[in-house]
Amino acid sequence: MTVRWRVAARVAPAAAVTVFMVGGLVVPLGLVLVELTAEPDRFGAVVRDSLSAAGRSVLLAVVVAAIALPPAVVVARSLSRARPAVRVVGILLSLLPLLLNLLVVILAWLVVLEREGLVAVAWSALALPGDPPGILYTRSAAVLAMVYVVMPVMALILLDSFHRIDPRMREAARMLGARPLTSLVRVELGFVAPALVTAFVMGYVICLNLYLVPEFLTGPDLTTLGLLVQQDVIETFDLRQASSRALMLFVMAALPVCGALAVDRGVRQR
Amino acid sequence: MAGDTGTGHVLRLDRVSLQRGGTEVLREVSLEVYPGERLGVVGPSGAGKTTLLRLLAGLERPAEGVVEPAVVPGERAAGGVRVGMVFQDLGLFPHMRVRSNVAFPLLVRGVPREERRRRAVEALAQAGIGGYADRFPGSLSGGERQRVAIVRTLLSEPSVVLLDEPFASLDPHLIGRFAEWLEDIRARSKVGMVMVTHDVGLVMRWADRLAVLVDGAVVQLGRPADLYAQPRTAFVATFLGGANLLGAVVAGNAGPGTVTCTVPELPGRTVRASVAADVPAGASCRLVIRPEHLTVGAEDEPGGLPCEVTAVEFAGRSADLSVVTATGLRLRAGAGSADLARRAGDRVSLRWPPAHAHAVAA
Repeated sequence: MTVRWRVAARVAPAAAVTVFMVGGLVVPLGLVLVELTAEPDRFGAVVRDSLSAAGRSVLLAVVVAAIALPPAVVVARSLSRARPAVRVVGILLSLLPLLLNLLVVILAWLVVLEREGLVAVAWSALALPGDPPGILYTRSAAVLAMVYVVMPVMALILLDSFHRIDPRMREAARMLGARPLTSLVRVELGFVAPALVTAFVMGYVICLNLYLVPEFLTGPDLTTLGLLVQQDVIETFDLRQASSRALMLFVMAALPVCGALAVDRGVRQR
Repeated sequence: MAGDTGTGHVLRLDRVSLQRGGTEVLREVSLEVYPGERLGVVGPSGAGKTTLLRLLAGLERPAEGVVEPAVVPGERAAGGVRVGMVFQDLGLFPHMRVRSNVAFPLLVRGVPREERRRRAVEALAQAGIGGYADRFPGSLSGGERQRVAIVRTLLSEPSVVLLDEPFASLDPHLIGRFAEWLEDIRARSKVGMVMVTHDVGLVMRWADRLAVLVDGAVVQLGRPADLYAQPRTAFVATFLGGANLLGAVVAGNAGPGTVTCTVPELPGRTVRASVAADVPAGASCRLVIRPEHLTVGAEDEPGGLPCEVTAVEFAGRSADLSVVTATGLRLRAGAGSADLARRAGDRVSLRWPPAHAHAVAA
């Protein structure tokens, strides 16, 4: 094989992947920008109109990621310390919510939370006082279902970092007089802090785009930016407006990702 | 004094045994650690050295026997005893700067932030590693990390520090300097130290007492010089340094602690040897004679053992002469500078002072 062919054999796969990945980002982003530059004033108006939805989206995503983080830590830490066979089973169970279609997951939550649903049945069976909490079609329902979806992703992101904790670090902390909570917070969570940031940001980014969950479980009370984009594309066919809002979503997602990458870079330079 | 149980020792193991996975890792181990002493623990791989340290640290519980006082990791036990441990892989916290690592024992005791910082920087400066304070452990060399781990442990104010293979991650040419630093730190802190190491030569120079651990049992414990001169077993003799082992039979008693032996490969000769315990006449034993105690002389020297040189091995500070007797007994002798000129095939004679032959069980 000549040198030219050897170089081509190496470059071609990389070039194909690069074109695929960059094309997947550049083309839609380019379309968005083309649409926006046609009517720049309209972009400003759309942004102003969408600010409250954007704020709600960010708040919802932050709340969900924050609620999902502690259980994700517990799951990841437990799996990292489990025997290999148990860990594999645990990872498979964690992946279940991701393996199911999102609409099926939403339907399941409807079954669980509806007035005659599983929560209500269990409430009656246990003869608990009062009525079961009616959280369906409230913001709590959306938060609950979104936590269910993003928590496993966050746990899997954290798992590798917890797995890399040297057991000697825990023992050293113990020998130096640290109580279990101090050891957990200062040593373990300190060690996995960059992964915590990454997991939080990933949870946040996924939530930004989970517009179906609030639509089905909360109703019109919780209109998110993602939902408005969907309405622009499917209901009103206003691609320019959809593009403006999509760009807002992109910026809202990209900024924290850049922050997480900066944190990761700082850690790697140690 | 904090760290003294009032019975002289800081820590005591009394007939301690420990099983792991059905295997006996430690067998009826008894030893004491005294305040401020340097106790070395040596033994082959898998002898249970690290497990012994973990037991002293309170990280393992014995199946049988007594650990006194009952040590809880990180807490003061009865008599104010606190045990510190530096693990072989150190257990430094890679996400914390050196200063924060060193200040960690102060943090967990609730020492205010400014005081923590001041004391950590002071401790690092006193240990000669003040320049590392703002670095992360990952940017330090093995020796530097080792020093940080020791300084951190000392800030937990232990009565005794357990060191697991502290020289393992060091380049050979740095070990001597590190040992000097460690001794300097120990002398200033006046803390007792128990060191597990494979570096027998170094620990013999460093330790006040030495324990030899084989298959989970302490086979000998005492001053390094005593163990070297009067090993209890052939294994201890060879483990602690070069030794000629001669199969022998006890011929009789020659006074307190002394026997006469016959060596089949040295016909017509009777060898006087020291012995640790009474051995009946007729019992088989092995004679230990250190190479450096064999003096090489001219072939016709009266009373000398005639031999032929088979090899001269030069190893820097020391050299060995390998010789063989007419009966085929192979011996190694410490070579002086004059002996380095000898060649294989040269005829020489060997002599040794009676005090330097020691009989051990066969």
